[in-house]
Amino acid sequence: VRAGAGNLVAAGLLLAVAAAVVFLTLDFPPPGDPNDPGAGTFPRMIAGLLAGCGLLLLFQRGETEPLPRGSGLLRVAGVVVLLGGYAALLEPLGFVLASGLFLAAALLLAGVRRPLLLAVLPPGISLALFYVFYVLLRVSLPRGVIEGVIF
Amino acid sequence: LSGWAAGLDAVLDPQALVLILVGVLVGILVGALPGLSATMAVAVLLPFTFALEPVDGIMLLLGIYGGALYAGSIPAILIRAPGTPSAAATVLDGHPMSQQGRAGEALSISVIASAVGGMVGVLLLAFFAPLVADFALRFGPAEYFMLSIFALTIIASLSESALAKGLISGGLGLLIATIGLDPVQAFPRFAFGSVELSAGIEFIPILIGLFGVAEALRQFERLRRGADSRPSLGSFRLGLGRLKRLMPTTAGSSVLGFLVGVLPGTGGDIGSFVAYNETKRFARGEKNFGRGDPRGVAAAESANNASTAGALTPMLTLGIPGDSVSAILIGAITVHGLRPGPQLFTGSPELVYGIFIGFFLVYACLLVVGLVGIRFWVRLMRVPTQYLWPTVLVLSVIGSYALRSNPFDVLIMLLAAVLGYFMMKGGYPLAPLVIGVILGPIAESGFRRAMIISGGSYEWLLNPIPLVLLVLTVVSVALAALRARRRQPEPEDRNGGGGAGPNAP
Repeated sequence: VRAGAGNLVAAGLLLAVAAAVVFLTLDFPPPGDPNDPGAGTFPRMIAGLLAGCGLLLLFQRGETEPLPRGSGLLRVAGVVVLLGGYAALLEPLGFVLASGLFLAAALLLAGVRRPLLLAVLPPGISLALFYVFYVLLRVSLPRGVIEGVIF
Repeated sequence: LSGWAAGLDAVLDPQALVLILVGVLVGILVGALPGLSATMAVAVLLPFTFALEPVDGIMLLLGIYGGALYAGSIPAILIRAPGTPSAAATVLDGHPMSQQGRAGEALSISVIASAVGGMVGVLLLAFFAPLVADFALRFGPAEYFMLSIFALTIIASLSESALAKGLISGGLGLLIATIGLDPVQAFPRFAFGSVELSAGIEFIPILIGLFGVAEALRQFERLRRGADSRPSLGSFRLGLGRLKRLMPTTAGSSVLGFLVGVLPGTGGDIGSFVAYNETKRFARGEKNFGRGDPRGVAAAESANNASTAGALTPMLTLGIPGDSVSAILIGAITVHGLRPGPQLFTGSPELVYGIFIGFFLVYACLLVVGLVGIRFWVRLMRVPTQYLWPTVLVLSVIGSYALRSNPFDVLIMLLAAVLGYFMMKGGYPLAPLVIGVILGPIAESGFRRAMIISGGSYEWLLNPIPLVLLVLTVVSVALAALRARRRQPEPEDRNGGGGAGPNAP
């Protein structure tokens, strides 16, 4: 049986993870109680499971969905990059501004092109969410300049 | 009785009742939109519960879940696209009914069967859960270790995908759970000097990433616009005679759905297919199934909703999540410093009995709201989801950040989302990963404490409960391996098969 490329990659990654886990646990301290298997035993058991299943993958046919191409790939990668930027800017800019910028870019990625919607939805949604979570529900969210002025 | 009184007191609070209604309405909106799953909705809307009382928060989430499970049948019946994976069995007879101009009748059956199934499931939950919790008080470290291993292997073995992929998913969850302080020596493992990693990985950002953001990535990949189809709905009325004829199917499927739901890893999708097949088998000789038989819709929908209550049984009594949604509910409970398990019945009776009463009210509310607004809910299906997904992403960020006010958790959510996206593409089920993260500390601490108590020997494995669980674990793996061998596709089928399969109920 020929394993698909996806299974080969997954098996390689799993074997690498298992090896890394075993290597890292070598430095773990000995157990305080002589009957305790120690801090490294359970991770090593899991590493064994992952390595065993990784090897099994080599003998199985891959049943996978195709990875995205073209515009689909751009949209998926775009969302990941946007979320990374959003996480980085959340505290420096505050929730409302960071969310507004993220929403505008994400709506564009989602194919929304109407200028009115792009102008109204991002600030509207981010202000509404800040009000509901921060003001009404008292959930902790980062404050920036806009929050300081409005709320 | 005092537990019931405390539960009643907590649920009959106006805020809790309003949250049940709001939850059901939001759930119906989510379920009616193809692409937005019930699990995703509960995961992404989890932050709404952070500031609420535990009972209120759980009521909101259960309302959302119940509403979404029912409303998933709307697009399943009308456009053959299940709104949530657990409505897949409803398509089999619901869509043919729609093609025959009987969509209204199918939708009415769906509301009533969902509500009856949910109520029967909750009654069974309320009856069995205290008994199981009482029994579970005898469990020690060895029992919890073997229970965790059994739960994880059965979840992996019942996954749609191959057994190996289910076990890999669960193993990754267990491995993620080892990051941070170990449960016996408090040694920081795999922390690489990072304060955040030393504190461990919170599982809420992981589940939001896996069930919310990873699904959003898939939806961004193949943007879906609102459904244009406007099938003829026909009459929504069901005569008393029709209801009576459907009652045995609905009642039987509800009980079956509950029992299937109790097994770890079997969500509404499996429960509804099992009940559908059993109903079909009992009606031997009748060839209407698959061609628009109302009993098919009633069986699938009642079992689907009853299985949710079933999945809550191991979650409430043992702290072992039965499916991905009960894993999220564990998150909603632990956020408040509570721990699901047998002690919850004595420590927080208002929560446990509040869940029983509140979940029953969710289905009572669903019955009324579902029937009253039935013509309107059908129109929700046409809402284009491209406006919703960016908001889902912002809610995901709020849920991850607000837990500890730390952008690190948003990063964890993003990494989990990317991992979940590739796992879905590769046909790996996601539920075992989340459940592995939850069960990891229980399993490891149980294993090490059992070893310490028994003086370093493995004789605890021969105690009655661990031994039975060990045998069940081996049997479940062996059966799954056999099933996988039988399912192995022929070489010529290689190009025809398989997506990732449903990952969430």
